[in-house]
Amino acid sequence: MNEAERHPLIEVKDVSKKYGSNFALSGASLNIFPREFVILVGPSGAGKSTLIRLLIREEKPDGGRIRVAGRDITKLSSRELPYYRRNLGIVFQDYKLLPTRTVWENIAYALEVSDASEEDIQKRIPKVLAAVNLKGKEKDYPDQLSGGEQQRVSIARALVHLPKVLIADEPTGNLDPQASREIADILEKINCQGTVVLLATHNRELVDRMRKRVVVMKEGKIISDQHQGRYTC
Amino acid sequence: MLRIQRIIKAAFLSFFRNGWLSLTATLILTLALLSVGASLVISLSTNKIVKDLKDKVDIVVNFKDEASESLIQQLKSDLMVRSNIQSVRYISKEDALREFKSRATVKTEVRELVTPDDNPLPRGLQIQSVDFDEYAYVAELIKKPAYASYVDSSSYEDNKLLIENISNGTKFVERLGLVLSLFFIVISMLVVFNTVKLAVSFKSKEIEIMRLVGASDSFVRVPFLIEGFLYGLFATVISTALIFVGIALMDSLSQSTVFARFVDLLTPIYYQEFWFITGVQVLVGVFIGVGSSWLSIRKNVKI
Repeated sequence: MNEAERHPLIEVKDVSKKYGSNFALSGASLNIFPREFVILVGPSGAGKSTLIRLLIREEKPDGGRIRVAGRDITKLSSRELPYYRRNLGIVFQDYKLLPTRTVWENIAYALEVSDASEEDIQKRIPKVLAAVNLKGKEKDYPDQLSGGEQQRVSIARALVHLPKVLIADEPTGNLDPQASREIADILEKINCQGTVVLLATHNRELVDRMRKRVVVMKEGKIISDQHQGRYTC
Repeated sequence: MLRIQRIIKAAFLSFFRNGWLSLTATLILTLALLSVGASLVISLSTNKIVKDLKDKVDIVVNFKDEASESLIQQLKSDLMVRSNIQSVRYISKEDALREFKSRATVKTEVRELVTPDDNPLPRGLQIQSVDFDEYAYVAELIKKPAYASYVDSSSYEDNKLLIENISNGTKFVERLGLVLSLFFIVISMLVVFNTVKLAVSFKSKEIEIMRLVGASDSFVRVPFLIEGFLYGLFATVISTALIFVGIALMDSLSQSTVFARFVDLLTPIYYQEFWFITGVQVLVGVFIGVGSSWLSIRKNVKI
């Protein structure tokens, strides 16, 4: 472990978030180090999605601090926000693909927003499509693909700009067991190449099979944090 | 440069790939522009009718023989300085005689009675105004002591009722035209605004995705504004073509209809003012298209 890897890449400290009078997060703290694969589990309403929304800065916490790569993201201005998000890869349960764009165009969009050159785009997309086993689907529109394929496009889009962190919120929530396993394999492969993966999931089989660090949440708190953990909620 | 290129490409892509949505927004905007164009053509024609009518109305002030030339010229220059007075023509005794003799309604015997040496016809001022209310002012002015005893007669009293009727009529037509145009324009703007708002809110999910992928404010907003511009541009092309064809069609069919005279008036005005009418439509179309896109994004999308 080198010097940089001793410092957490993501540092969540005493974070709380309230919706009305209900605490969705209450004093949650979590450190994630470079190259780690962390699985976030917990029943519905435990605070997993809230934590992810705070990490991708869709919302701001009511208390506490969140640092990513040494930067306090709660203090980002709206002008800085797009630049922060370009350093993350985000995958959602509902894929969030642009319906009027092809597979190629959806992935290219993530590069276009950061002013990547055409040459760069032409070079990177075939590689990332190969990594998620989607070669030959470049010209298809999202509604021509299965759920598993759409999720793989979403992962390809999240990966194409080589982010340091990939955040996946219930990526297998809408998929059958076979497609879920494929997604898990791809995420593991990505992690092996050095990207931090934070995966929030309900999928017991997936968690038990992967044998990664498992963080369990309940009622807005982190109640357990185990390396090579299992689904325990 | 690459960024601008991509933003423009994104706008065109969204415009053509969301075909039905773009078509609906463009057609609704076309309807709005049709009402703007039609209101404009009708109001220009009405203005022309009113102007023609006004040009036909004037009053003549006749002077007694003892009125001095300088007094008449003084009144003329007093009237000329007023902005609403369009023209003041001095009618000398010779002018009056010439006009009298040229009148077809005057019998030959009577015509021969009046000669340059024995000319009872008075000198006068023929006054024309762009505003009918001005005639009442003139009538009041010549009643003042400085002029009253030298004025023989004025046609104002004879034409008063006619002038008032025409004045009220034209004012009513002008106001009605304005109110109707405004009414149609406001209604169509509301409809267009709501259609574009619907189109943008339909795309709000896409906007959310764009934000999450790291698109900057301009990368999200500007394509929508360009799309609004395209709605306006295409709508102008369609509405201009429809009005053009409509006018040509009315022109060719109107010979056998009762609208013939109105169409005869409308057609040359449309062709004469074609670029003005089209220009207004482009401006209104682009303004509504871009404006409603901008308002909708601001209202619907938290960026």
